[in-house]
Amino acid sequence: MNAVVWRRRAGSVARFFLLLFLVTVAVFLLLDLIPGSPVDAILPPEATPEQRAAAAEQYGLNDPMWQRYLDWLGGILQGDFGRSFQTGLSVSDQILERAPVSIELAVLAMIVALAVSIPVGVWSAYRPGSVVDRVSTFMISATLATPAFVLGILLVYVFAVKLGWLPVLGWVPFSEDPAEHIKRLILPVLTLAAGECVLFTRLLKGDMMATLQQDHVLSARARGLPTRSILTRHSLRQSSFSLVTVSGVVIGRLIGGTVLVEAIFSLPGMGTMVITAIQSRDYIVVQAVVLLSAIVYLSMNTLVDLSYPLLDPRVRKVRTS
Amino acid sequence: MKGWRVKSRSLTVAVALGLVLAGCGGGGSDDDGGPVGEPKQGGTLTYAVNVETVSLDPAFCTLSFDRCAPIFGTLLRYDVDKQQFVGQMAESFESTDGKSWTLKLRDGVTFSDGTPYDAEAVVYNWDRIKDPKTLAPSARYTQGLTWKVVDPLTVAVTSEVPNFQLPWALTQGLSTIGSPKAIEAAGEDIANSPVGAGPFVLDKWTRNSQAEYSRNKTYFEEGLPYLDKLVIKVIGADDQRLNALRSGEIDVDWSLLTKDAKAIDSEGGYDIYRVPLNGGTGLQFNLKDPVVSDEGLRQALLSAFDSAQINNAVYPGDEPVDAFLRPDSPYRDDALGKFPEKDLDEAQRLFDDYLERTGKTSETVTFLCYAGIPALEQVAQLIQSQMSKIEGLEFKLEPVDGATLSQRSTARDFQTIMGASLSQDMDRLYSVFHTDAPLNVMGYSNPTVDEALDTTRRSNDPAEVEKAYQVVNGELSKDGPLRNWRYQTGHLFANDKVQGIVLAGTSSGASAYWQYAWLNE
Repeated sequence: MNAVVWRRRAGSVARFFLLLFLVTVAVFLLLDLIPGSPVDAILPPEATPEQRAAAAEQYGLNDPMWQRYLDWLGGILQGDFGRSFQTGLSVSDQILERAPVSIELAVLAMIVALAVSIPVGVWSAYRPGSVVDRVSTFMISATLATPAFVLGILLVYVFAVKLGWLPVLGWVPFSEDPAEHIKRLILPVLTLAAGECVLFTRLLKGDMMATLQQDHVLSARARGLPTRSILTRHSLRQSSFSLVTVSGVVIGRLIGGTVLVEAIFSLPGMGTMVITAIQSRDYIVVQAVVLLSAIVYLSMNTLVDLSYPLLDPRVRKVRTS
Repeated sequence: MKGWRVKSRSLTVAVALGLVLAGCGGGGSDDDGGPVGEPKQGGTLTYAVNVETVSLDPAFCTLSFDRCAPIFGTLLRYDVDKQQFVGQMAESFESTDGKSWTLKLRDGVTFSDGTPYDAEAVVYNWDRIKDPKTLAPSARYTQGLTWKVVDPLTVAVTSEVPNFQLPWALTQGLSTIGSPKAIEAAGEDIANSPVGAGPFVLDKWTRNSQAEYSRNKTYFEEGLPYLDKLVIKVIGADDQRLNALRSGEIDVDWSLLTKDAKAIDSEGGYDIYRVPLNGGTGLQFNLKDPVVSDEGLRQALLSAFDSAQINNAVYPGDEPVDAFLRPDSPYRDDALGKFPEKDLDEAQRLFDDYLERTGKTSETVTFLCYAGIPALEQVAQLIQSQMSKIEGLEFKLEPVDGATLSQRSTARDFQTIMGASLSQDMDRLYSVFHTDAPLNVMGYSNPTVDEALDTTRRSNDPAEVEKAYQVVNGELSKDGPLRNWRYQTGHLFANDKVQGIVLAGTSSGASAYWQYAWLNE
């Protein structure tokens, strides 16, 4: 690998850290940007003046902003996001407790979405107008027109209330009861995966249709290569460019953004944690979750950026030239 | 199909009595003939609420009655059937002058860690609430109060001014007493390590999912609680809670929606319990604002207001609002005042008169409202469309998130705002509408209301207190500092195996004293 490639990679990493710094500043300012004093954000309206003074003292809100930023950043660099205003709990501990739920949900939703959308997208592009294509087009339109919370409640009504096959909601740790754990994840994962399925299928179908018209694919067909080989080896890899880009962004979004599904199904993940934090004005927790979501986003984008040359050697050539 | 039963308990008829009776009430009687058979021991009851609580620190329990009362109990309880306070964890709370109160505790009660539930423990908890460093939301209840231990079972409480409504504080903000030993030992983790003397102990708390309780074997009331376990789930979506009830995932559902009560009613097989709350949600004015402090302008806006339209569109089934308190409240005397009726001609006349007096050709009024809550956004738009019928008035919406709205409300940084005054107790009106009250964000000041509210605290004569609240309701309805579009009612929907529910009212709706509930399985 030559120096130009290394320089470009170093540039990606430098951009990552610059953006990360800007994100920390923006997230830190979250509390100060709220109208009024940060103390008002922490305490209930009926708080006494003595309580306001005590809160300002306890949380260092009398210190200059730059000092508070440095203290906060210093804590984060040591893995300490501070203590919740409302619960007194370590925010880091809360995140460590909740993140596995959100990550499991997001990763499973991602796997389901890819497992459905890749074959459907490929086949729809290969055989436009076929039954698979028409059914998938209909399903895409229907899903696009259905918000996640409606879909979630609809799935619950059919599979839990009417058919009684699955539980309505709730969470059982895998260690307590693996079968119940999986049963309780099915509806949330389907709800979360549905929207991503639509996105992935449309993207892949569009890219595949373009790839299938390219010379090397036509040549492969002319040479009598098997359909499976043409679709997977010669077309899918090249067509997965947009899919990989979007998947990276989506997994970042899913981990930080399962709020709605967690709320509908009462799952103890980071989404419901942030809802409670917002409702109770617990901005230390909100800051931590927003920061982590941003870090996941940025990391996934950087990884995707770095992975392009691995997917398509032409990118490497174009960039180095 | 089993017929449905409405078990309604009005908490609006509360007149605080200076003499608090000793003893505890049993399970509530049913309107339709009482519970089915004798109470049975055992079983797990699952109840669902809409929001998670942040802390189980006893000093923070005013925000989470549902989660705290099973662990700590409450010093007093308001018995809806008897319409009086009864001792719960405490034996009695008495005063003859409203200033000097005596709290008597029960002999032999212990916390679940074995330490005594005594006067020292009560004073320790109250001192902690009063300490500004605790940042306790219930600190306002301690203002103007001092206390001291008289003997192990007696606390003397002194109020700066006579206040016969003080027992409410011992059902709410000052009601939950935790083990001092456990509080000291838990330190910063007290929000998660509650130790009380109530009917249940907390076994496991998975935040935003569920809290699991089991019977407190050392609970002082013999034979109670009936249940072996109590599970309180958090299910934010109203529809999901109903689905969970229908599927048998939960036994009791919490709701504020009349339409859901009607839906459950039509399905049958459920008992519906109601707790009507005082006050409601509405359009609140900043009376210190140079524009909306104008009486004529405010009356013009009130005359254009149409709560029936709002309820028909957003809260179908809710009754129309024509005065601050609901029609079945004993504190309603319509001769003393009602909200102005919708009259667009009168609204225009008053507004034109305002323009003429001020020399203006038009006026703009801003309405600070919630963003991101569909029902409340719809309400805001309806109000805007109602106000836009006044020619020359621009009624602008300013949607903001809940935290910002709360802060700007506290800072009185608004002209009109979406506000609420909800409670199970009438004494809340003092905290919201008295000139010097801590929650009077409107800057409302009416000497007649102040005098009447002072009477409600000063007097130990139920008839006099009732009359004073009627005056307050009449004045609030005429002045309209908070023009509510809705009377809110808390509901519990229980499947028909749940018996013995004794209702409790909270500022967020209905709840229950779960030690009296049992399962007819």
